[in-house]
Amino acid sequence: MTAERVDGGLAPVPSPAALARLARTGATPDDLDLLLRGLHSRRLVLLKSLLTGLDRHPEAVPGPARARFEEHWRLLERAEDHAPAAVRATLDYPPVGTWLARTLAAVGGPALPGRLEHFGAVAAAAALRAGTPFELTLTTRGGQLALPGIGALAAPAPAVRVTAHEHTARLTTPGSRRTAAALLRTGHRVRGVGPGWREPRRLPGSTTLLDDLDPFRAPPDGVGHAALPAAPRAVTRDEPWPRLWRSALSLLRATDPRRAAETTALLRCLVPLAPTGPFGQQARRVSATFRAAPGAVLTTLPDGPADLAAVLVHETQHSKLALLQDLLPLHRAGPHAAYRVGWRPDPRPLAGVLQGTYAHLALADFWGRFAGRAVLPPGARHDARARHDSYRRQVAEALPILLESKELTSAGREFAIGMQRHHAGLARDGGTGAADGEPSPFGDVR
Amino acid sequence: MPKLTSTVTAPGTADGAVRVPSVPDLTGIDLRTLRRAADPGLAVAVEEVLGDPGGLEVTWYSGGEDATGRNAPGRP
Repeated sequence: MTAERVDGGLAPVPSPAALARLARTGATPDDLDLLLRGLHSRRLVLLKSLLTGLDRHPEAVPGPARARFEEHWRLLERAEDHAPAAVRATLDYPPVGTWLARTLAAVGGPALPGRLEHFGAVAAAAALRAGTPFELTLTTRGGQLALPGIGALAAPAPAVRVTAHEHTARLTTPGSRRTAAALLRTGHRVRGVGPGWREPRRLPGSTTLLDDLDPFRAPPDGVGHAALPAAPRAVTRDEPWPRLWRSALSLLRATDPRRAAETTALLRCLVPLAPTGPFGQQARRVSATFRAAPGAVLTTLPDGPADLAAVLVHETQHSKLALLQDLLPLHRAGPHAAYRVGWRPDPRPLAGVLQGTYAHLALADFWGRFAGRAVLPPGARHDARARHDSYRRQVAEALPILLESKELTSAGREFAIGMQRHHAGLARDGGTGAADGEPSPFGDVR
Repeated sequence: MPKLTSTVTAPGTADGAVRVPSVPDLTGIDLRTLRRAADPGLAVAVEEVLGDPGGLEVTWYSGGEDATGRNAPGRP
């Protein structure tokens, strides 16, 4: 095997100007495009890692399972020949990243063959979007076959047969002539009908999906101390997600159109979280981003549009910073938790300090702008101003940790200085100047 | 045939330091090429992943009883 090289090409790292914009928690469309290109490269690195892991541990995957993997890989290649954008959209869908992370963690172990089976659903989803004809029998998981970003068929059978043509497809269970679901492709979008077929809802005014179906939409151990799992469709169908989303996006556009644009450009799916964990512990106002799945926001049902807007701002920064760190490392720090921050009682690793500072800087910016909207009643403006002050104070306490750190790269230092400048600008532009060190009254800055 | 862009150096910063991307540029690379590729930059990225797959399973979360950031189970 020979190495393939490009003739003088350079890796697409952000320019100093782009890095400065990102440090201010902003981004132009070109900056976002760069981050999304990095996301796709990262996804391909993970796929290549999986291939390498399989080659190194041939004993870990029985022959039939390996043969199915190869069949699925060939289908993915054929789909890419037909419509590369459809394959890229499928591979870059956030839950596919979560599946890849879980599968890579199982490389060489007994769980690997089972995890590999989902690759068939990934390949099928890509081929359906691409309009590539194929026939495939896919293993169900937890009583359903889930096609990432398309939908899921509840199937009380171990497998589902997918027969796909250019524009239509049929899902059947082995031994049954009855069609369980019929799918229709329009462009790269696939819709379906049939008993047991469900698909994620598209949130109004965007291409973002409300994903309450994909088995890999949330981390396996849940989110937070309460280990909140993803909420199932049985719960979310009665919750006002589309209405909240529409109002939150409208509010975000009125407050800061560029931030609204960045949110809709990066966010591929919104994943509702259940309010109760497996051990009965309840939690409110929880939101999260999984490193392996940038572009997905996981959240419990917010109290209102303003809270959802803040969640979107907050979690989008985590996605941006995760993507940026992959393109251009900002630090070389390990997981050692060594730093005290205002928003947690326990020491944090430098990566956590950086992520928290960045997200809170964006929130300080957002709430400051929100407080400046003359159309709001005085009470709402006062509340927004208090949130702005609180977040700004937390950032003020954390910035010196970053600025004095020896673990930042030179790009990381540039980035931290950019954040400091933006923070200073926020202090000049607004805020009531609450004294540093006062307890924070708001959610994630305690 | 698409070519693999694997570059381990990139434009320097204002202070002259060299930026080293941790992800090679694979945009424009098709899956057949990816499978065959034995590019050094890609190999380094693959070894980083296989050497610490748990590093992918980090969740940043906020709210509830908690605040921003935690490591996944099994991570220190």
